[in-house]
Amino acid sequence: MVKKILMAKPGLDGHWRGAMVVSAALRDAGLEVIYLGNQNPEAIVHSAFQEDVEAIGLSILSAGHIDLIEQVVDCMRKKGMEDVILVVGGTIPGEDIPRLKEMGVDAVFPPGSKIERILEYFKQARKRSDEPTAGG
Amino acid sequence: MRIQGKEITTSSGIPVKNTYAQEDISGLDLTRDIGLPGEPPYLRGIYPNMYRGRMWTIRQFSGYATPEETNERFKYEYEMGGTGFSIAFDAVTENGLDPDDEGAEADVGRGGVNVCTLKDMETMFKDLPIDKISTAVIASPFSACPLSAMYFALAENRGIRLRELDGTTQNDILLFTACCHIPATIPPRHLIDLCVDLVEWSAQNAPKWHPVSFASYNYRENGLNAYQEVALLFANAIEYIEKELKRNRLHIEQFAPVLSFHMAAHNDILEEVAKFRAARRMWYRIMKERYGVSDPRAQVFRFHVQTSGSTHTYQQPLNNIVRIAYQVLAAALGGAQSIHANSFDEAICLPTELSVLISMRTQQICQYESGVTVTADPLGGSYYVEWLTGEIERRAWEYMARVEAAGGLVKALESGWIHREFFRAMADYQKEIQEGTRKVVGVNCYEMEEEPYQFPVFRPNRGSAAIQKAKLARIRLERDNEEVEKCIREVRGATERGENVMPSVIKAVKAYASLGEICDVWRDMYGLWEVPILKIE
Amino acid sequence: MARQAKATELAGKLLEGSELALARLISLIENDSASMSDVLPIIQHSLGRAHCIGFTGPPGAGKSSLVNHVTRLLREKGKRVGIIAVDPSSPFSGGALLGDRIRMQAHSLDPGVFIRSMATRDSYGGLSRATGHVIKLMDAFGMDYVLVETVGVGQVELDVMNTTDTVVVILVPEGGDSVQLMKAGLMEIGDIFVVNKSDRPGAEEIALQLQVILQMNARYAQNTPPILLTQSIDGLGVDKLVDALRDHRKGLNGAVLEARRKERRKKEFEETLAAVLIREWRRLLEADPGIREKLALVLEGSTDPYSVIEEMFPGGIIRQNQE
Ligand code: B12
Ligand SMILES: Nc1nc2c(ncn2[C@@H]2O[C@H](COP(=O)(O)OP(=O)(O)OP(=O)(O)O)[C@@H](O)[C@H]2O)c(=O)[nH]1
Ligand SMILES: [Mg+2]
Repeated sequence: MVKKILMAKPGLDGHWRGAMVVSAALRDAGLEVIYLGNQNPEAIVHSAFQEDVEAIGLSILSAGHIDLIEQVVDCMRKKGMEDVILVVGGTIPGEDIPRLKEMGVDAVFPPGSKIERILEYFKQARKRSDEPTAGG
Repeated sequence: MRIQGKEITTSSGIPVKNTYAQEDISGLDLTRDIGLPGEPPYLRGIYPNMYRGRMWTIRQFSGYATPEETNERFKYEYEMGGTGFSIAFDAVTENGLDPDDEGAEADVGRGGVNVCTLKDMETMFKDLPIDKISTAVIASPFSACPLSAMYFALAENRGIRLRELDGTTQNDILLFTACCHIPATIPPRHLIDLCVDLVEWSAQNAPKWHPVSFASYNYRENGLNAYQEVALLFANAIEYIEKELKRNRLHIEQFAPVLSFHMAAHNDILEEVAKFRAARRMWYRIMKERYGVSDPRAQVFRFHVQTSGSTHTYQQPLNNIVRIAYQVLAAALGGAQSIHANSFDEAICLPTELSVLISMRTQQICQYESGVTVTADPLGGSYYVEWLTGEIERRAWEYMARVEAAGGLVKALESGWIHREFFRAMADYQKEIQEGTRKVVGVNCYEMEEEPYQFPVFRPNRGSAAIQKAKLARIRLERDNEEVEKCIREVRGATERGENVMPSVIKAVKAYASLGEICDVWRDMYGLWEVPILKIE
Repeated sequence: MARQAKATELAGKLLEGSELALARLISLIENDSASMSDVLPIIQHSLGRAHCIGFTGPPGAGKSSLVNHVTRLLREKGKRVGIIAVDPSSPFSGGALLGDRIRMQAHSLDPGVFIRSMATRDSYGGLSRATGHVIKLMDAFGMDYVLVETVGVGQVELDVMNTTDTVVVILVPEGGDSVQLMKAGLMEIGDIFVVNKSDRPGAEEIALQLQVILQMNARYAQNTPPILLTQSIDGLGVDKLVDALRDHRKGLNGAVLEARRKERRKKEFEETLAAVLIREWRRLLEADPGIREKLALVLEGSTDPYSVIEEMFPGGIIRQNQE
């Protein structure tokens, strides 16, 4: 179960409704949410590093998701944070989801995603380093 | 419709009975409170003949990538019967930044078009008849003066007299401070001065221009309900008016006629109709009773409508065509002057040519086939609609009093009161969906595992950032940089002296100063605003 | 034990300057403050260098913005800064929305600044303990300053403030908040008082009122603490605050500082002891059906706590304690 998550909006995308609604729902489900608002990818990742969160949640409605997530994943790799779970929500066309998963995104929650589903996800999700390594 | 326990309510939570009859409107004086279309209190419409005289303007909100590409989209819409333009800018432009600013790149041309100099504005309107067709410059309060100045300069360069220029700037202080956040704006207490400068200058120099469009569409999209939408709309307008009156430079009759409005059309058709009607009566009362304005041009409530994007679903998106049609119907029955119909792919991407075509056809079908345009205010006199109109008005006055109690609009904005109201509303809305008291077809009922149909996703040119940067670099080489610096100093001087900034801003854009360079003056003077974050109780 | 080994290893790396170790150790301590027992012996000799400053005041007073500006000025002097930003946990869900960091993002990529958000969690005296531990970790990491921002209400607040060298109390012109605070005991703990948002009307007035109140307070009989006006929106007056911080630290020379720190260590010891005792008591409760039965009687209301305790520890333990 994920207990601590950092929620951010990479770039200048000003839509905060989804990010806040989800942050509040997570808080009400007992998670600690560090709300960062708009930040550049490097600052998001560095903050997540200092806060030692289990997950980074990005809310992107600007259509810039491919570029921005590429940058976030890149920064995470540079900091050795591959074990931190990366989750994305917002305006993500269905056809982009496989590509994002390939890039290292663990789960995508497009518009209309049920809050229950999001909460369920965080309940079962674990930081990758906490997973019992398969096959020893 | 929402069902909460045993109670059936409107979408905004107003309890509704089985049926309505004469007794429900017995308190109304039919002449004083309802009257006739084109006559005070203008409840029934601002013209006696409404759409028989003139159809509403079909004004699609458009913009993406570079001004070149947006120009093509505008032309397409014009050819398909669009009768007004409306510019969607990207977040870089709304922030008053340039495409070469740090951290801007990923957002250039996304969600809107990038514009940073007069050159871009010229390109965007190449071969388009802006003397015949009006434009809405949907600019943030921070970028409103420079972007409007660019449009004015464009018009003047084309030989159009500013006194004849028709159009609108959004310039609503709640936009990009509360309705969405932008990180590069200045604090509202200074921002309001820029907003009011544009109003003041336009009232004197471009009387057909609407220098502000109070855009409660956006408040509604933050989860507020119908009467809260109207209330905040007028609380905002009052703030501008008071600010200008305090300056003691213009009389209310000189600027009230140029104020304009932009509302949402949400799902509940009759409630929305009631809302539009209530808004007209309230504005009349505000003008007449609060400000003693007798000029009918100021008493009439003119408004644009946009169908409510947050009601449009990602799931089974073709269903949105139906939602949008109903919402357009509500706007038509409510007497809108201009309409933007969203597109069915609203929750997925910016509209494709196909989806925008359907939006325009939806409007045209409503105009010419539905029959609702044959007479003014066809629902006037309906027991239910008249009762609901009154109910919305009553609740809206109440909510306005709460804004006032929070210190007025700018105070309420700076203190985070408005953000908290938005947050409460959006959280409730989400909960209603979650609990099923608010039904959303395809989302919490009639769901499908697999999407039943596929269609193309719109992808704006990913190279726009490079193109826009290169263009700006070239302009910086070619323009007279000394002149630009001098102009920028003048903008600063005018701001410091508390003069209207518009003359100096117009001069600066004509010298091809960039949007970012002008906005930097204000950022430098006032610092950036820190949005009140929500630490929710 | 794996956990112990991990704590020891991280503590070693912390002293070598590993940010990762700092980040991880904080989590470890947050989740299990007993781990500090493995860490302390290793870092003990590196402690006591940092100047630790608490910032407190009513919600929205501008604590975070002020911390942000203070950090900027300290960085200009080349000082390394650790920041601990505390926000409340929801009493209903245990979750929290931590929003202070957003105000300090100007420093997010500065290698000389380390920011950590903390929720009050189950703050059974535990918040001050965990915060105290984290201050130590940052101190050992080599921070010249550790700035702690807290929530501004309640007992927990006072506890946290006891873990710092200098306490800055922040007030704002508007509203009865400030008056409330004066009543709430914050007046007793401030070393420096700041009236922030001095761009708003009424700031001077509050400063004057404050002065009067402080002069009447016994704690400040010797000398009234500085009262400063700031605008953390653009950093106006914050340089004066930084000077005052420096002066206060200087004033805390040898004896005074040592006395304060002694007091703090004593408190820390007592808290640790209390926490251990409570844990033991809970274990006992689990294990001993006799005690459980007695507790049940208390819960039902059929007997009072004193009688039960008296019965458990015969010999008049309650009376003794009251002497
Ligand atoms: C409401 C809205 C606004 C409001 C903003 C309200 C606010 N405070 O956020 C207003 C009206 C102000 C607005 C403005 C703009 N908007 Co807008 N907006 C929308 C709209 C209609 C709904 C978004 C919304 O809030 N939904 C409700 C929330 C609860 O849903 P959500 O954000 O999708 O979140 C859910 C999931 O995605 C997920 N989720 C989201 N984030 C996260 C994060 C994590 C970690 C997790 C686990 C889950 C998760 O969980 C949520 C619950 O299901 C969408 C279209 C749509 N129907 O989606 C367009 C849309 C996002 N907007 C768009 C645009 C272009 C803009 C503007 C740029 C227009 C302009 N040019 O001026 C502006 C400016 C914004 C800016 N500068 O950044 C476009 C984006 C285009 C694109 N991606 O290609 C959209 C898609 C509409 C469109 N088709 O044109 N907008
Ligand atoms: N006018 C004015 N506003 C300020 C000043 N300092 C801070 N603010 C604003 O006050 C709001 C709250 O500031 P924060 O720094 O978050 O306050 P805080 O005390 O940390 O708030 P909490 O952590 O939520 O208790 C923000 O919107 C700031 O921009 C100031 O000097 N003048
Ligand atoms: Mg704070």
